[in-house]
Amino acid sequence: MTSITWGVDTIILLILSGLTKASLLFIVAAGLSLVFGVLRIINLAHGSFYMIGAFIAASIVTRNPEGPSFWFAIAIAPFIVAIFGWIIELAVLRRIYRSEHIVQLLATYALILILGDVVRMIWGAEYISISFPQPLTKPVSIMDSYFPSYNLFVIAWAPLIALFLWWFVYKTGIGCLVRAAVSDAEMLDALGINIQRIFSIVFTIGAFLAALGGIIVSPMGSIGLGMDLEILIEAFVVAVIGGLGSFAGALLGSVIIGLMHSFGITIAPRMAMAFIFLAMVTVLIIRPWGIFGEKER
Amino acid sequence: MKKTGILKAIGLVFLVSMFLTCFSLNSYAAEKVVKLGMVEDVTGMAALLGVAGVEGAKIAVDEINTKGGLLGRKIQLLVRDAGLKPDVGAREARELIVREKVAALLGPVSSAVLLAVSEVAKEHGVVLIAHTSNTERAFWEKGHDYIFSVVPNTYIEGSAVGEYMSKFPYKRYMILGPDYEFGHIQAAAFEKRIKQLRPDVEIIGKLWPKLGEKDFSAYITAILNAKPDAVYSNLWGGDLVAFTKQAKPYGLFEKVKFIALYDVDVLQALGKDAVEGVIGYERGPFFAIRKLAPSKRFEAFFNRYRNDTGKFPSCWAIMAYDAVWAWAQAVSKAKSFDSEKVMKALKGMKFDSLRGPVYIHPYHNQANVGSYIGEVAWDPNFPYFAIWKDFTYVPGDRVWRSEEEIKELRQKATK
Repeated sequence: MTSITWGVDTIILLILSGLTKASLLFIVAAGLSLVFGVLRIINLAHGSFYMIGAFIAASIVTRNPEGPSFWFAIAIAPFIVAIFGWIIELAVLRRIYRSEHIVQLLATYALILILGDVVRMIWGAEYISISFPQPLTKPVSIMDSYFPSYNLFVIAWAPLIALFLWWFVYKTGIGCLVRAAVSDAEMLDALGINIQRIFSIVFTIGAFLAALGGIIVSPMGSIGLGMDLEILIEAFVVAVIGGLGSFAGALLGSVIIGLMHSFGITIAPRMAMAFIFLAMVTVLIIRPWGIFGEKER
Repeated sequence: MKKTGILKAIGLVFLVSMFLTCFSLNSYAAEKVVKLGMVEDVTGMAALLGVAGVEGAKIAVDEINTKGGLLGRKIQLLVRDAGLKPDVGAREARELIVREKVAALLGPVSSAVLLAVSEVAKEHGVVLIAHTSNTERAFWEKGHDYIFSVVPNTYIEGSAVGEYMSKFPYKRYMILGPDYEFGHIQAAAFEKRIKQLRPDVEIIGKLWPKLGEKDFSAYITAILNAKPDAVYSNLWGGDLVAFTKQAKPYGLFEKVKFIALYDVDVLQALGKDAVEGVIGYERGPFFAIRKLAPSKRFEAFFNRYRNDTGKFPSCWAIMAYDAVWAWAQAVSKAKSFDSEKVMKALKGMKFDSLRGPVYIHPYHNQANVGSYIGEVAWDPNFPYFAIWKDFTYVPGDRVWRSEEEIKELRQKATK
């Protein structure tokens, strides 16, 4: 319907906007995937940590909007949410590892509702908005067009986090145990390793990543109720396409979705969303465990 | 074992005390109270609209009760949450009617919930007044005697903006709206009206981001690539805040005239990120009402709302307040709470809304409330958020559908 002019700058802009979305999705989906890989629980409340992270960042920034408070928020808010996630793991998740899937889904779904109401009680229902932080307020020019410098900052996060996760899982002692827990948690338990502690650590990292995603997105959009469910669905699609439990899969899945989204909207706006779910269905038919996922034993 | 015993005992005491409070409330209620039901969406992403509506309705109820109530009875407002889910809304409405025996219902935030609640109201013959949700389908083809509206519906709103924009020289338009009932149906009304008045206008593309989209960069790139003269948008709330902030660094607002639902809530959220020169439209911005239809009553409401909540009243609060008063006036006129009589009294009734004197159309039950349109600008009286300048009001009866058109639509719908 729309006539498209395929200049080089258009293509660069489309790729960059696709990668912006991909990066945000990866940060959240990586945590979701990690938690599932180790704990074998689909944590529906993952989006709630994302929302809480954004609200905490907003509280910090709106207190002093002029100074460098956003950088302060990004440095401490994920840790606050991580501690909160750790408490949730102790109080709720720990009790349902051995339960059936339906119990786990119900319990984490209950957390969505409870945390949603808690957020509303603390912060109210207003849309909160924080400005782009200094020095990322100005756009950069790409040939004849502009691109927000903040988006470039967002894009930079995905490789950083991918690198960190790779280092954590493959180069640290705890990472070694995490990998062992993924392949056979019971055996690890029998060897006398405190598996509960590993579960706690992994869940806390998951909450940390979700909150980080929420804080990074907060200057771009508005912070409000409902952002928990909105991100959960997309992150879930990414994790399923890539394979639940796989970082490489989450990375590839988010890039696929991000680029399909940006090119899809320019080429065939009515079909863009359908393409994304079509991609998920195709992957599920051909490889039900996702591109990089492993078959359940 | 002992521990669970204690827990059980505590639980029992708790339950019993809950029952007792219920009973005591009920016996109080049985005296001289008339119940008014409100099915609102007070959780989820539209909570801000629903909560403001409840606040506005509460103020109206309180005003009526301090003046001695209605026909000697005090009004009790019962609020139920539909959480944007049509099935929940229908269930809550039914329960309010059957169990609580409410005299009338006030409508929800979501248009989808409205369509469901409207069916229940029709089935039980209970008056329902919509004050926020506004899909025209609920009032035109699916309209019936018991559903009333004090909010400009999507047809009025879309047509009013179409009429307003027809004065500008722009020819190539794009549409950008949320991908659900409200977004599509209102954009269709805009498209119809502007093409009627300006046959040279062309809609070169339509973009439908999903409700709650956080990252608009792909949409912004698509708009810049298509190079329209202007973009008509009915993005609202958080989505519009997000779009505005993200589109600004791309320089979109310098290249394209942008028209969207820049209401008081959005402008407050945007703060200093607001963009001067974009065109806003909405259903009751306080700064425009104060200029175009100043009244002591509005000032009293404004101050009371500021006092009670610490916030500026949004149109959602204003329209819910109007809904309560419209119903109360109809009850006084009918001298009865009977739904049939109140319905007949409401039809064709003139009443003083906070937005000025209006009337309810005797056939399709839509009040002739209209759309406020203006240009976003800073004002020295409001240092923290931008408001509008050069605003106009397009009354509903200038742009709504004629009775014949609606009769035709209803006939088609029943076939």
